[in-house]
Amino acid sequence: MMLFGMIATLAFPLIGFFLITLLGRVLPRPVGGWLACVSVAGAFISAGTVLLTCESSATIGLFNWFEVGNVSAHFSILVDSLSLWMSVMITGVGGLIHVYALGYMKDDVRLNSFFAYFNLFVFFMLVLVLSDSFLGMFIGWEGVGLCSYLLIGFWYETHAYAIAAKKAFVMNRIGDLGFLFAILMMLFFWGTTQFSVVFIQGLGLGAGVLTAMTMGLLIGAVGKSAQIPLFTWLPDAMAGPTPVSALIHAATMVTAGVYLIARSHVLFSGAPLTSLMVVGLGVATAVFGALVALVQRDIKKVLAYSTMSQLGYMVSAAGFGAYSAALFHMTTHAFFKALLFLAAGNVIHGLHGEQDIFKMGGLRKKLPFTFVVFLIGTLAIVGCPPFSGFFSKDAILAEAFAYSRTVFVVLCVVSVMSSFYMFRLLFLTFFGNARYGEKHPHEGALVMQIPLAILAVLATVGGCLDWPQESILTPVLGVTLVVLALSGGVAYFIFGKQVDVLAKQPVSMGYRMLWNKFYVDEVYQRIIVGPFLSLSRGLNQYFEIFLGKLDVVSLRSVRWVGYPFKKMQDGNSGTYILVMTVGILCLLVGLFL
Amino acid sequence: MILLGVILFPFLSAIVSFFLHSEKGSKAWALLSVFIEGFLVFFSAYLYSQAGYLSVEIPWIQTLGIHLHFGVRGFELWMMILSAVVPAMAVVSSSSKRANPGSYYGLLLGMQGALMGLFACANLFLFYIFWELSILPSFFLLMGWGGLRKEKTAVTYVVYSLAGSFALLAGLLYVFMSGGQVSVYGQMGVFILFFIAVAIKIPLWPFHSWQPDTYEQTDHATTMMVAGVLSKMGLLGILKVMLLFAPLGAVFSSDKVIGLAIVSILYGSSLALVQGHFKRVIAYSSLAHMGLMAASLFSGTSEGIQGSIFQMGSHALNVVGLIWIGHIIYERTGTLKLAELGGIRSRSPFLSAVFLVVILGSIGFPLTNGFVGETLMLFGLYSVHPLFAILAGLSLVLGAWYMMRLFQAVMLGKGNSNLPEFNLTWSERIGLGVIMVSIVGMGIFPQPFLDFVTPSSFKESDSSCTQ
Repeated sequence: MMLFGMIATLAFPLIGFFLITLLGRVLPRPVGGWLACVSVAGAFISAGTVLLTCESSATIGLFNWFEVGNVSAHFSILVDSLSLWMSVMITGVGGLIHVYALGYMKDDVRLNSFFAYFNLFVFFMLVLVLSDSFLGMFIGWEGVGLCSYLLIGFWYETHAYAIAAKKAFVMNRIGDLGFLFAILMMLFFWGTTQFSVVFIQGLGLGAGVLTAMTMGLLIGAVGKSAQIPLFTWLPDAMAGPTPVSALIHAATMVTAGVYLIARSHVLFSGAPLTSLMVVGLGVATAVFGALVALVQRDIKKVLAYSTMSQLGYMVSAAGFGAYSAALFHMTTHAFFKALLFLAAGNVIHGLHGEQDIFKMGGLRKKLPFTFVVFLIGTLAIVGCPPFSGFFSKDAILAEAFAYSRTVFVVLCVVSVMSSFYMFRLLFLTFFGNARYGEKHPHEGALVMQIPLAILAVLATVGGCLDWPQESILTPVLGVTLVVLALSGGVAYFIFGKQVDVLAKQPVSMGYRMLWNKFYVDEVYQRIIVGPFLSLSRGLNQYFEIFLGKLDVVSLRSVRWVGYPFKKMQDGNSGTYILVMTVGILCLLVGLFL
Repeated sequence: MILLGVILFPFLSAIVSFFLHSEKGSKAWALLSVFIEGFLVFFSAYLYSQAGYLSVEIPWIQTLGIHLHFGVRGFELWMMILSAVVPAMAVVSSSSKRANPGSYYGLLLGMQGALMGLFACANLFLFYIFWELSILPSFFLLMGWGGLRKEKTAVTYVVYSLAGSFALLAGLLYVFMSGGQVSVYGQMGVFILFFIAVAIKIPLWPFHSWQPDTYEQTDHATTMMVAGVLSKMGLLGILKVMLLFAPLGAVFSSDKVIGLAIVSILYGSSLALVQGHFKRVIAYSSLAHMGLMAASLFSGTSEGIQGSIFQMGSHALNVVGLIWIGHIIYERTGTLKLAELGGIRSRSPFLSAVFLVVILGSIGFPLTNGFVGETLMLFGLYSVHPLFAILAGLSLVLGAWYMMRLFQAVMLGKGNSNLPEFNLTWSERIGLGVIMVSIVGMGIFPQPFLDFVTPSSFKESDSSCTQ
């Protein structure tokens, strides 16, 4: 049962991908989309069944990948509560986003390839969480990177989107290199990357080696989960169609880093220095994302930076050992962030592609359904009881309190900021005066509303999920409510009523820093990419020419040697061949006679 | 005896080909020839898998004690399979009109014969003969067919090759004269001489400057041969001659050679980023890839060496795929300048899909052939020093960068409005399909190939190598 169920979980999306790819030309467009939805649903049911029926964890060997010298790699599936839970979440939330995309993408000519990539993405994500070795995980790890490349750049005709996709792929690869380095270390020490070996033998290593290994893993997690300093791809990645943002940048791919750290917590627990860095980077990212989200005008960018900030929460939680809290928040975040992205998709869809929240406003009446679900999502993300976000955020804050007061305070401040920017987003979009001009906003089709409704329910009650919770701070409840009311009130006061589209943007230094995302992209461009490319161009123009000049010198000398022969011959370059042949013959004859 | 057939058959059919003049006739003959040769090679591989070792020895110049001695082990057969597959791809992909097609195919087949001989030979005398013999047809192929600057390129190529050959010859003569028992200092000297020869052939930085022009200026089939197989001659030289006759030199200098190879990797990757011509990007990317293969041959670990040998096959397959795609684009659009290309993905989704898979293979994406080789090679380098692995590993990032830049420039964007239709012919579809499936197949099931090339056998040194 378990064997069959797990293989089916993996096989469904893969078969879906191949069917849609191979039959893409023949299938009528909606059929391809439905096929994709069915395959993910199949995977969801299989994974769910195994989750409900299986009590114990197990490893299912599939086949040997390669075995050379002391190094060996096997494909096998790890079945335990963590991997099963992740699979159910991926296929569940992913499936809902699939269904939503049916409506969102229905007019796109390349609908079938879109769904093929979607299915492939789910497959690689499942490989990532179901593998029982780091090498197997790496397959999924790079695989989701590839799919995100394809999906972010889905509208590749637009130059900027293609650039964004490339950026995501390359930035991710920097992280992947760190991950691969950790894998090489594991192979060097144990000849395998199976979890069962690594986690048992891992603590036997010296602290230095373990620190290096976990640093490699951390770099990988930082790249995939868009933490400082490798986050710059995530905001740009909003170039993809909105369901892509929901699938990749909210519910699944970006959480892989958190999963990686949680999965290898044994190694991290033996490397305090790395754990400290995890906390530091996580907290810094949480602050950074929240600050930047305060002033963004693009509805998806606000959500993107909010994702970054929330991921920072999870990463730091994983860093100070609150693995279950981190995973819990990951789950609830998957619900409400997918909900928010898809609802934002409804808004964008309804306004024919408008993404600037200063050109929205008053949509509460035109898009009542979207408004309600967006409100639920907002309340969930800001941690308003009794919505799911309250419980998961609370679990993290409780552990942070126990770990360090400083971290706790910073995370609380981030929480306040996040409630402010979310309410700002809500009010600018749905309240106040209508600023979208002549457009006629309309609700999406039923296939777009049903997934939203389900996600709204999950975002509401997700906090009651039977997930091991550490503790809930009861006093926090009151404080939270007060803070929420305050930040919501302030946001309403500023953004809830009349907003002038053409209002001059504040010109203060601080605002410009935030608006330009602290100039990180520009700094990378100036300090790393620019000089590097200049160096390459310089080498290409000058050093290569220099080497070419050497050729000329050597050519001259050969010509000079060949001069007597040239007189005899007709002067073409065959002379050199002749010189060569004669030379060889002379040498050989001289040698043997 | 089948080895003799494998080596002689291409030469014989090359001679026939020189007498053919019609476009269709000569191509048909070349096709027939490469397929028969392919059959012969695969049959030898089968025999090898049964027997474990194939060899043939015939007395040749009795007075000098020179024998026609051929013998192959796994990795040599692996190279011979490459030399069978790559020319087949080169012939199948040829569809444009060429001047003197008979001579062109004849030279191509001749080159195939020389490569077969080089890979199969079991003594240094034959090694040198075939090494030289492979230069002749490549020179004429460069000289006769190609871009506007082909003559200059061909002369540069041959000058470099000659320099390498003389270094090789000097080294071989030294080995001959010392009767195979080379002293320690002698080994150092021989090592340096051999190194110059292989570093030019592979090529390694700073001996590479013949390569970008050669890639850019040659006809695509010649580029396939140069990039796919000729470059592997150098690596095979390392395995077959350098490590065998100057092992102490390798022991003393392996760090320096690895360092130089890593310079090649980083230099090639960096320059590939700023090239404006499709084939020049491939040339510099090859420089990087070949550097990694060379470095890990000197890692002294079985994982690194086996990974490198495996990667020789993967690289040949991937680079042939890239060049073929470039050729298809060139035939339709008449240009390979990146600034003039773009938007081809909407014209031919199939071509774009194949291109992406080949790119994934060449940047070492998991489940493609490149990943297995690169992981093993990086493992080998890690065993020497972790820093080597990190530096060489940077090519994974840079590789993704320049390859995705290439993909974007060629395939994505709106493209020219007067972009022609890209109706691929059936031979193109099948050929590219085979490449795509092989890239993924080798990535998922690499074990049979790794077992086939297992290096345990090349430690049995062949005493008859020296006279």
